[in-house]
Amino acid sequence: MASNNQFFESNQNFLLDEEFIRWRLSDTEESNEYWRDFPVKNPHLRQKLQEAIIQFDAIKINRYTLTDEDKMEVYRSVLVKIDRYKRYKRRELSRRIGSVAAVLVIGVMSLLFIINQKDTVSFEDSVRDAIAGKTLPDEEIYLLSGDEKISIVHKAHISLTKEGKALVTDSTDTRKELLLTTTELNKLVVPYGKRADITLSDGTEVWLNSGTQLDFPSEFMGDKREIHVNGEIFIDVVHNPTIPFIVHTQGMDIYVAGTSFNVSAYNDDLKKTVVLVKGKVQVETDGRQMAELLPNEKIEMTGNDFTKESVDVSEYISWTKGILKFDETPVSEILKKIGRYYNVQFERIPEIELNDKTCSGKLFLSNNLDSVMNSVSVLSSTVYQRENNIIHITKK
Amino acid sequence: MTPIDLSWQNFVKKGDEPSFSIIYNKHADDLFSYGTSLGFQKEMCKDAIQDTFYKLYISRENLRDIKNITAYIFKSFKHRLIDLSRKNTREETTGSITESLTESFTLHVTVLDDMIDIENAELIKKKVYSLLEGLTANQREVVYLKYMIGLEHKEIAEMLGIREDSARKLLYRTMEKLRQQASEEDFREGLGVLFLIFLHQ
Repeated sequence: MASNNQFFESNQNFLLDEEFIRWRLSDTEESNEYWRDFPVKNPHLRQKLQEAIIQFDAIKINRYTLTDEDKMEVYRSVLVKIDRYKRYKRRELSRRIGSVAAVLVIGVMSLLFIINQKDTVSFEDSVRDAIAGKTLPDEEIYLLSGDEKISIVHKAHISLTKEGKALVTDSTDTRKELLLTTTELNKLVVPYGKRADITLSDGTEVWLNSGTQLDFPSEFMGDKREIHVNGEIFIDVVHNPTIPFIVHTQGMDIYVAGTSFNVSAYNDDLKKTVVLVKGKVQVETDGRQMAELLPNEKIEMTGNDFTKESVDVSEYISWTKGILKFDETPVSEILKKIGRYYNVQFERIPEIELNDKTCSGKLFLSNNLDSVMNSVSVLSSTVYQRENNIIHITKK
Repeated sequence: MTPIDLSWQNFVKKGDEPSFSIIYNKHADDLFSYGTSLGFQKEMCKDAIQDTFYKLYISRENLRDIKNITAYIFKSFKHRLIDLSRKNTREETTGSITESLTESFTLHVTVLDDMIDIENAELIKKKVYSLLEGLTANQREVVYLKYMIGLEHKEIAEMLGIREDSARKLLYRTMEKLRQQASEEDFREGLGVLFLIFLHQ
């Protein structure tokens, strides 16, 4: 094992190490013990190890997939057989065709703005050609239902039950329950620096990015399923052709027509975008149909203007996996995204050249802001310094 | 409780149809992959998936005590595949299908999306493949069910019709085998490093 450690010192590539691969594949008690101790004995490799564990998830053995058509066909046959069985049993037949999972990604790209001017620290003394940021106090995720309000820990999962309750499960498997109101919409509010995900009453799953508010009913009633979003979400819609799913945002509504899609829209952003992963969606403004999206297409809306283009969807949904992907992205854009994740305010200094620098690559959003900022400074050839809650980025 | 357990509870207690469709969608591809790995054709896999879910639906009253729905579905699916192939074999020729079933478990390693660089992805793929290549069909099946599906020893034992401690031993032996292969490769790599050092001097 000692020689292994030396190997990592120089190469730092766990993914090519047999002991590591064997551990990920087999998950035996013996190997678990070794790898649990490993970061304790090698704290400087903790981050590398975590990244490798996440990356190894991309390795699949014998992964074959059925097409959506095949899946629908098999499912329909199951329903037909059940139907026949029920008729045979002289039972009342439910005509509703079951649903097929759909994926929706909604995303909003915005310009770097300082949202709350009064919280901004003045950096008059800071060096020219520098970007300065300030970490903000921690806020909690909370779920609002009528007059009830409960706070929720980071990365907890929320599920709605048939009894109209919200079931909150956190990483330690601690569970909390809240009976939701049926008279008005419930709110899930995720502040900057936090993320959460929720399973709605129809099984639709929604991932909320930092700084996002979602309004949803305890149970979908009537002939439409509707939710309201301010921020960025990735949504996997359970497909049900008879009850359409609509995502409302400020000035833009998205209708799920086919199987799957992804949306993001912050009220205070000028630009709003919708990126489609699977299926078909319609985007409407003021009740007028604006555009129909096909997979791997993005629609971008600024005021009344919109543009449609083909994109690599993985860039827009990587945040759900705790990764940020960049492809020649301006440093200012990267800092804005990091700011949202870690609740840091970066002051915008338009005249400095740093904003023109671009980066390509992947960032692992670990719990440690310092290691993330170090990666950014390496990628963009800048120098990063942090004094308490103030961050300075300067050119090399 | 995971979302899938929650869906199972909703379905088994109230016959909730959306929950049933969630369970179906979560498992369809995995079952297809498993059936294909065992060497079955696409149409037969689809038939077995259909039968498995039909049975799950109509017999749910008797399934209330099932804790791990994924393990149950996989077991049920495999039995169905064996039944279907027996039926086919009777129609065509004689010969033991269960024998050939345990004798093959194909191997195909993929790297999803672009979370890993292309050069590294190829190297890792090769390493994973060569580690698994030397295993028997049974051992590969154990690794597959543990790594890809996340089943426990007890559940794997049930599926393969062996005792739990045998499953543990099988996995242990599998890993021992992987270890031996790895140490041989380490040795070769060690030589390479020595050679490099030599060149450097």
